[in-house]
Amino acid sequence: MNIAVDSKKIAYQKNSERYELRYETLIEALEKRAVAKPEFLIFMDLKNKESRVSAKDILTHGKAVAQYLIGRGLKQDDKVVVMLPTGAHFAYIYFGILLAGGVPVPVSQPAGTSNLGKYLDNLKHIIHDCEARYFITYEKIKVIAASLMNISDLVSGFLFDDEIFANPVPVENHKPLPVVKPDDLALIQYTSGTTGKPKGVMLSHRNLLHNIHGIGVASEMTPDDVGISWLPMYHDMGLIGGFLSTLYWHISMVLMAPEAFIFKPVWWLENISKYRVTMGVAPNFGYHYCVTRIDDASSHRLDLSAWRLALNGAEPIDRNTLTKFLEKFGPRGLRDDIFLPVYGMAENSLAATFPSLKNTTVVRRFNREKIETEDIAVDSNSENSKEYIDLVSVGYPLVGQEVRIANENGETLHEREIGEILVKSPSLMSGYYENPEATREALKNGWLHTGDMGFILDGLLFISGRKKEMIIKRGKNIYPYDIERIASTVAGVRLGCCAAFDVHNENEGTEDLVLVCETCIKENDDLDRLKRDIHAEVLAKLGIAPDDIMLVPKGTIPKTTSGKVQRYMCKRIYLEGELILSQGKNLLVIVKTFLMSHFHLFRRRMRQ
Amino acid sequence: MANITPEQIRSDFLKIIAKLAGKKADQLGDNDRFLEDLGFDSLKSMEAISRISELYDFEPELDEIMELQTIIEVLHYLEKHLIT
Repeated sequence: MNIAVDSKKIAYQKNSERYELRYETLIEALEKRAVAKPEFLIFMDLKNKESRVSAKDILTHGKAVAQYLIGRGLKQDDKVVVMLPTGAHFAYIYFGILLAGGVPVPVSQPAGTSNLGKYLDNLKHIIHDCEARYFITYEKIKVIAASLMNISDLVSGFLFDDEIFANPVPVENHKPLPVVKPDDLALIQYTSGTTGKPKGVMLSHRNLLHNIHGIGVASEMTPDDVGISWLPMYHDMGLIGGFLSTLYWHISMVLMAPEAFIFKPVWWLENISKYRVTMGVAPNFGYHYCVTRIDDASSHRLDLSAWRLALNGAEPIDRNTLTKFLEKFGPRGLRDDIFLPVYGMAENSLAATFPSLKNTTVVRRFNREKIETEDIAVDSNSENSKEYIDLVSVGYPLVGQEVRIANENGETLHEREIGEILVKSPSLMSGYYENPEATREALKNGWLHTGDMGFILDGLLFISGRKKEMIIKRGKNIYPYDIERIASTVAGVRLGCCAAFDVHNENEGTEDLVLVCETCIKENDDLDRLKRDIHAEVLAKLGIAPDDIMLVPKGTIPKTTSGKVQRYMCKRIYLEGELILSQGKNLLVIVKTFLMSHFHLFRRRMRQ
Repeated sequence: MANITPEQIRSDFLKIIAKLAGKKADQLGDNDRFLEDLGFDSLKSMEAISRISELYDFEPELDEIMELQTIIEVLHYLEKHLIT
């Protein structure tokens, strides 16, 4: 069954194709677009009604914003934190800040339902960290989060978008706008952590333009394309992938709010049908959500035949989801080769690798055991899902980019060998803002250490694991250690005897967060209470709730000889346990699970 | 739509919330907050709203409904808009 590892090819790929950036700054891109092809954005509101915004509008209003900010004392290189929902004002203000010589720092909005305490802590950290002088938001935030008004004490200018547009600076008071250069910062993008403080990824005009150029080349964008996105505009995929790249490539773009998509996913497909959309982008769960939440009756009039590319990124890609999506919407004219599983990270502006358009979805079957325990990708032709793992390739580096797989010493491995994915490109950040320590750890000799594990095979990149056991839930990064540490502090939980890991949830198409904790408590009522306490504590501290908490007796969680929790082993035990519940009568599994989970007891007995 | 009662709305909405939260309907409290108590993020809350409005075939003002934070607030909103 196994094919021996024969490849001695070095795990290194470089895209040396010649390229030339069309513009030197995003401002130049906007100015040229305003003349050459002003039609640009189509915003859909929460009732899915359109309003159009041209590149000319963005330039005109952007300049007005710039004058206003300069009038309020904004100096070159001042950081401006922007918290606005998807809409025209976001576009005007983003470019207004750039035109005034400032640096936009977009952040997420709190939803009516979010954990405000944690949100505010993060926001305050970001404002301090980037030394923000201005904070721009919308007035409605007073209703959603009154306590957010305290932010006004932290900055010299706390502004509402409406007041900027209602008070234009008279022409006679206009100041000359500064000259913006390619290496000036065009964005500080804060990366989310769970408890680790967010870090500010510094990206220049040149960085962003290089990435945008590569995205367009790899997806063969032309001005005839029409794009769509419901990803938030403050986030790299929505901002760079959805807004800036389509500006650069003269593409019309339909923008929806994330809430609108979740409320009525069929609106997304209706808009694709109505505007003859050719390119759409969404994380895996978006496609899954469409499969489960759209009924055939509401989709039967759709025509999805213009759609040529569905970019899929930010979350691990699930082949099942892709298949179901194609099955469901194939009859609506959907092509079967539209899925483009892509890979990237904020530190590299956005995108690092794209598959070839000639062969968009490459799936290969590997031996699960070899990948999980021996760090080597060996082909498998098994039909038993416990023995194999199907991986979807994320393709080749974009123009001017290099990718290699390295061991812990930074030495390049061979094809099929699993190691850390390293990226080098003109899209790379110059560093994290005012954080030389974190920068040194991420950037070594010009290579970005992504923390993602993977391998190269026949020149194609495959991702085999997450950032060193990091869990990704709906695009959020969660470190198991953080969750375990917090769970350990709950009375009744044995200190240091917790294991957190993710389990793929087939029904949801996403990852479930599972927490296993040891306890000496035996009474059922007390166990239930403890579960609730742990749930509440993790939620309060991290803003994320475990999907399942399992309490086990003392000594159940497997540890290494040095006392480190073996999350992978623990996950196996958990999964086998799950099997008992679903199959009920499979005695063999029960015995096996019992043996595995109580292995240490038997071992102790045998020694005695 | 004439026959909808507050009891019916409550029972339907709690069923939806319970399913999304992985709990039993009788474990839910009126004052449960979507994120703090139920572990919902904003998108999951929106999914709950989406499901209930599909069930009753009505379109709420998303702007307004996004500000609601507890189960009882949503129930009041639904009663106001569904029972005339």
